[in-house]
Amino acid sequence: MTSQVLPPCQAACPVRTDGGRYARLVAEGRYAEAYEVICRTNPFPSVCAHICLRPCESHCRRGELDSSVAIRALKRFVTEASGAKRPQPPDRKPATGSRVAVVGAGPAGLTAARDLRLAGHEVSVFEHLDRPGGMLNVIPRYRLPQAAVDADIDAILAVGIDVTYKCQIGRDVTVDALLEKGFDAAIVATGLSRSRGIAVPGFGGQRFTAAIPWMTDVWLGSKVDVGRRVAVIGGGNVAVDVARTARRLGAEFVALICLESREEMPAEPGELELSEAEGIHVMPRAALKRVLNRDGAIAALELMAVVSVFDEAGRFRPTYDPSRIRTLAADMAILSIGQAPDRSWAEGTAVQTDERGRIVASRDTHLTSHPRVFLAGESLRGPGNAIQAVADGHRAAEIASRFLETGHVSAPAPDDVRPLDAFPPDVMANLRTMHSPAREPEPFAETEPSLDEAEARREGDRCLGCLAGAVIDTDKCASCLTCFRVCPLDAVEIGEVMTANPVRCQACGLCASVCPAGAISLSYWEGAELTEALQSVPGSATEADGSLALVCRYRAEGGIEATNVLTVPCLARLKPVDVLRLFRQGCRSISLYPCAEEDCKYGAAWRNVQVIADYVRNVVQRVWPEAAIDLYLPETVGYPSAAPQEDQDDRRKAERD
Amino acid sequence: MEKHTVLLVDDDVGFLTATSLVLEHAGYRVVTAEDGRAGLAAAREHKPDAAVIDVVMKRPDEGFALARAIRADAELAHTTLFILTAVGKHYQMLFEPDEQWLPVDKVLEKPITGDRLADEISAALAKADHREGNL
Repeated sequence: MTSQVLPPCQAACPVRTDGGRYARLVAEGRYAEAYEVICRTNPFPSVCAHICLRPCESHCRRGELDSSVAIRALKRFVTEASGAKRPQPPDRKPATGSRVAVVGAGPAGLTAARDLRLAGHEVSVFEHLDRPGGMLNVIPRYRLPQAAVDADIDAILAVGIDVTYKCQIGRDVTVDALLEKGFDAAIVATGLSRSRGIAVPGFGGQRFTAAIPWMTDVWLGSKVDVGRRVAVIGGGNVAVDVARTARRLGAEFVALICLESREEMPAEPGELELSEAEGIHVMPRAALKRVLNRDGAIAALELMAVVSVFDEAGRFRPTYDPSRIRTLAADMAILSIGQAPDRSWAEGTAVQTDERGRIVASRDTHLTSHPRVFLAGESLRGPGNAIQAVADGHRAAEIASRFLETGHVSAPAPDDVRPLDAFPPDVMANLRTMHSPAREPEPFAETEPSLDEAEARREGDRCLGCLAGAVIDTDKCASCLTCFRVCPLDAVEIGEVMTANPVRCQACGLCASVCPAGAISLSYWEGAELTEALQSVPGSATEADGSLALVCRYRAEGGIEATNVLTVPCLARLKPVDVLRLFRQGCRSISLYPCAEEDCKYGAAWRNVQVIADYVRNVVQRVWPEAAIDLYLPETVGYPSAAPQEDQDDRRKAERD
Repeated sequence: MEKHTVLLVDDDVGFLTATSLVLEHAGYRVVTAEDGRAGLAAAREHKPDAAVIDVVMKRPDEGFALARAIRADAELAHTTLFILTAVGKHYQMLFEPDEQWLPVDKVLEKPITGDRLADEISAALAKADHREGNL
């Protein structure tokens, strides 16, 4: 079987969001379409716009060149600042008459619930908290604002999902009882609701707690207790969240104590840097040996040195040096060494557990030992992140829906995808670096900074268009080699037929604009859209003064003063014949505004625009002597005030001399 | 066949009484202790096949300490050890056996029925007998 090749960002995303496509749509100002692409596979766009761990960015090919496209920041711009409305969900399929109980209203459970509802099943969700969101509720609000959680969940529930809150599975209702009540299947997605404990000597003193209960108290508005000197045990992202939260709540001293070395710590490096900037002390290679209590309350922690964390086979098997001990004064200890599922719901039901108490379930089919009970999300897969939970919710819903419709349980076809190969060195050498306007968050910031519109468009334009490039129609191709000659990246290959190598092509579109046979199209950019836009011009242009400004759509800055303005996707892709047609349709003065050179990812696209302008000028002035076509080349930064072509030619000539 | 001996350590006398009855009915010889110190002494005296240990007694970590002490005693190291506690639910933590701090065979959560506890002990002792038989 052949793997499907995808852009690396899309291949890395658990729900296969086409990050490149929405980045390019943002660059063009097509925000509603970008929102639609984002929501196509992800019902938690606002949540992921804040907290996704960005596997897309880790695999972005621009990262090999300068820095990855800030895809998550673009998602946040689209969902919060672009003005675009959230797209409507797909139409619900006709009712099937089946009923499904989903236990747990976190990302996995709600994704499954939404998919099942859209598939025509009746869905009821049972949640033990008094609100939906699951673990999203314990993510600090400075990282994930409540409004983002609410926006996604409101949209999900609006498809017609019924939720019963404060209903704990196993305590208030059992899965057996749900099935007896008429539900045809149940999906349990209760996540990892318990923190792992350490039976360390001195355990149990006052202010000895764990991450999940403490963060639940903090972020769900219960009574919050924070010490003056807080020790957080753990080196993952949750531990960092706990430490930063404690600091924000007024702890004077916060230490992050972890077994791993700084390089081995599982926390995101950026988050770790921020936490240190906020005054948190990171203590790597240290293990809790003993808690020293005074009058029943924590007074200090005894720590011992860690020699190694993993054995030669890479298994977690820490070794210690008990001779190297240090004591850390602390009045609070918060364990954050991992999370585990609460499996007590399975006790007394037909759902079996293994000898270690784990629920027996297939990772392929999600099915437990009960023929109508499925697991989803972290309950099945173990620790993960929000977007992985969403992906698993989709998968569980697909399997459960098929079961409800056919009576058979089977795993979906394997998702066999492969990322587009890395750049060849010679392509890398020809690519243009572009500075990213995305900013890192400041210490103690309420939320991460967001992009404004100009920044977002520029950031979107940094997308290199992996797999969005040229496709040559071999039926139309006359093998004239024009495309081969103009391609700046040697992406066109000559064989029995002409082909464009997708690993090299960057979708600049030059080949498509010059192909005399019209045999080349771009996977993403559609020439028909431009032709249609150009054909709509004459009426308005002639009603005024017959003048028209054509402006590159990727241009981030404003400031074009013209009566009639038409933005086009990259001026270098204009075909001379299209411009000539504008004159024939009534235009007498056309001004061309390409991007400033430092904003143009193709760098020298304006040269192609100049070629087009010179060619058109030569033709039209023979027919209409009064006709003008002027090219407004950029200054070093931004756009110049309109300058006649001759002046600019003189300036360039002077620069050359 | 000689009866297996089970040591129950818990500061809840009602629990000790009720659970002893169930386990004796299931065929075990049962000895009890109400704190960690007495539990260790009883273990040394009776050399139980299995011990079921509560955590929070006079001290919040007393059961954990007793489990480590029994495991560290060469004459008792083979004892099948259970932690039986509500401390996990109380702290919303999950405790699982680990070599360093919790060298027990299984962690069970209260509440638990006497019958289920008897089943757990029976299964664990059968496994231990099988292991020893294979040696």
